Amino acid sequence: MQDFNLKNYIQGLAHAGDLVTRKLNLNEETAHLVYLSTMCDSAKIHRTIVHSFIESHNLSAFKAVLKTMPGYVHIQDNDRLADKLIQGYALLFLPHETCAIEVKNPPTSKPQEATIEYVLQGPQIAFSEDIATNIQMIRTRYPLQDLQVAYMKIGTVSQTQLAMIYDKSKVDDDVLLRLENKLMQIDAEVVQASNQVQMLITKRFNLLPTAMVSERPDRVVFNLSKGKVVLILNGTPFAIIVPAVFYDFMASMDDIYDIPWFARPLMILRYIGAFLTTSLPALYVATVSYNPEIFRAQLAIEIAGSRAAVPYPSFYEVFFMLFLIEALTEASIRLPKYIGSMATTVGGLILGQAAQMAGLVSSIMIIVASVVAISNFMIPINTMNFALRVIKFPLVVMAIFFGLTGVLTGLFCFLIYAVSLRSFGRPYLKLFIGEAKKSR
Amino acid sequence: MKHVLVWLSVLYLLTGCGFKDIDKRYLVMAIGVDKSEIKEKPYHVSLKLAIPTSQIQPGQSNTFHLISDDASTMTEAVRHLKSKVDKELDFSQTKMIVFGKKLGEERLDKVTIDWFLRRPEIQGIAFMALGYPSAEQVLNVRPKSERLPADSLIMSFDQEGTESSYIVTEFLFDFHRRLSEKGLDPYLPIIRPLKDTYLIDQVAIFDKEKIKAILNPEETRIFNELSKKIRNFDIETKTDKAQFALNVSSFGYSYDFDERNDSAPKLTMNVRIRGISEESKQSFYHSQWNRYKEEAETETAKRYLHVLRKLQSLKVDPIGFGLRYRATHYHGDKDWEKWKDIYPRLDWNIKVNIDLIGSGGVK
Repeated sequence: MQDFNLKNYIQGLAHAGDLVTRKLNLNEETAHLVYLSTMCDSAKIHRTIVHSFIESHNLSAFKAVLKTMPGYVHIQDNDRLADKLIQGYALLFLPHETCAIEVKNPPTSKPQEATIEYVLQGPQIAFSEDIATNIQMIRTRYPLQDLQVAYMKIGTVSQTQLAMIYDKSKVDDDVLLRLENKLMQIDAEVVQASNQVQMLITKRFNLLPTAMVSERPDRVVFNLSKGKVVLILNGTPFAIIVPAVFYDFMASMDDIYDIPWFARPLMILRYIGAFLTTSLPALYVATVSYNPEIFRAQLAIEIAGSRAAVPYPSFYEVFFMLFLIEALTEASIRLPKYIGSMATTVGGLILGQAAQMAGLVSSIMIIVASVVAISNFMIPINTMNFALRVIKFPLVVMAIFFGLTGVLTGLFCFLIYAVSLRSFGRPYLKLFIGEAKKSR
Repeated sequence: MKHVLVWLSVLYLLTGCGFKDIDKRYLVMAIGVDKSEIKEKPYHVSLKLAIPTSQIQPGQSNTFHLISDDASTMTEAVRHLKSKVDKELDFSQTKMIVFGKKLGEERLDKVTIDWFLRRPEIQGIAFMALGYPSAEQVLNVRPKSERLPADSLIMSFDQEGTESSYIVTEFLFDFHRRLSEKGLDPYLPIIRPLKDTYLIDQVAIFDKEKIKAILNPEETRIFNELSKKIRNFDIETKTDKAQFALNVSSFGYSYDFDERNDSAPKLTMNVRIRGISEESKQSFYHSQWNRYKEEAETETAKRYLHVLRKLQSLKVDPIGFGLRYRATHYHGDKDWEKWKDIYPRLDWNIKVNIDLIGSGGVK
């Protein structure tokens, strides 16, 4: 090995700035240690590899020590050496053979408090961005030997690590097969987010999500116990749960943790909220412009009075207010936290009396807009939240052209669509009567 | 996707005439129909239009606009009235239909109310009444406490506001039914405008065509009890032996036809009343309740008998004995002929059973 040339092994990385090569000499024999300093824990390299090298009397003894180390891989195929380096292995070129030892930096990402799916009294910690930590969390919460964890890589370029987790005794093989097929077919280059995976394994243009993305370990474990399959992507604190039906998106973990007197009405409230957030703007247009007979006389006169100052037809004010609400929601997501309160202050001004005083919208419309915004946030899962936000616009268009009949037709079409959906072969609008008993 | 866009662009052309904002509509709160002076245009139609306000305040937000016109038909009247206003007339909130008394005395039948029944936005649950002296004058009243135009009329009839035993409620659908049903005759309450308010304490009884009689307030109350089985009324007993008033908490009656004697058919009516003494000249605690009860029972029976006899003599049947007779017999039209023969000579046997549940006082 006198003429050791790194370029022969790792063409692309040979000139990388963070590449470290060390020559280790022992009794006339030379070993080469190669690693990427940014990916590896140098203290660990010293502690394990260098230390044992110094203590060894000859190379064969050193080799024997290496073999006992955790994360030791014997390399047979020299083609994939560069990949190993990038994954945080240190390569050891010994005479006649090559081996790799995992000395990766410990993950910097720690589990954070749940912020998106917050529950009042329940587990407070969400997943972290590191796949190993996440699987550790799941294994701790679900300590059964039936729990299967299978790793794979998705993304032709990003090679993102993905873990497929399921309870072998409970999982539906059909679902598993469909999911594996879908995962095989993924040919995206860079995969970085759970929502992206969710889209890749379902139909891209589905209006309603058919796979759930959640940040809560307790939700994941609960779903595992129900026989669902969980996908965990490295680098995001969200897990994907399949199959998922409409009911799942409307359920909060609180429903299991709280007493039924409290949880059931809240659940009903959520469904009412889902109905209002989708159809209230459309109903407003339909009733104000087509069917004012729905109102009681007093309300009809009041609405007519408050609309008297508005020069445009009802749907202009609806679109105006919906635009404002959506803009406000979008802005408050994008804004940095420190100036986030500005959006709410300005939005509050507009949504409050000002728009009505200016004669742009009626006072009833302000209430409609606020109800739409507030009830939208009652839906626990974000992807469903977005879906319902989209649905209200076609309904408003139907209301503009056909009035109440249009709204009903639109809702009916939406219902038909939801019924026709399948999540990995499962009917989307299925109800789970009696199943809740087991989870009490 | 292309198809959707094409269809949407086609849809855009189809906006049509249905789209009309609520502020571009004139809500008709009440319709009045009178007999006009002009011979070829017999209908004098008045519409009470609500002027919208954004804040409802009693006595101030009941501003209205009364327009009227003479025409040969309702349709023509409404069509012509449209040219008098700047906004589209909207009948969807019309809950009050008032006919003039003169019109009722002359002819008020299916032809007159046909327009109201065919018009899709006028609801079957609209209240009907007679206006005296004219419907237009009734509509023109602006009560001081009213929140919306015509609201106090609607509140009077829908039992949501006042619950008076003198106010008899009649709906458009029910009036229409009574106009064609054999053995059930129509009636309408009479509204008399006072200064700033209304007085509704009479009822006009119709045969199938026009007014037969107008009952006085006392008879109206008893008629209301018999036809609607209302509960919130009181019974006054004024005889030499006793003078007291009963507040009725529960009221019901049942009746049977007794045809065993063909020459003298009888109707036996059992009236059950429960009530508390409300006003009395005597102390009620230790005296004989039974005696007072009996006094009240005979008094009440007499009052019912009076009204029933009056209706019988007018040959009208707004309570629906004829309908019950037809329903409980088996020969269809033959029974109806028989009933027409029986009704004028029907003998009434009324038994009133009063349950006095309390003296109404605290000892």
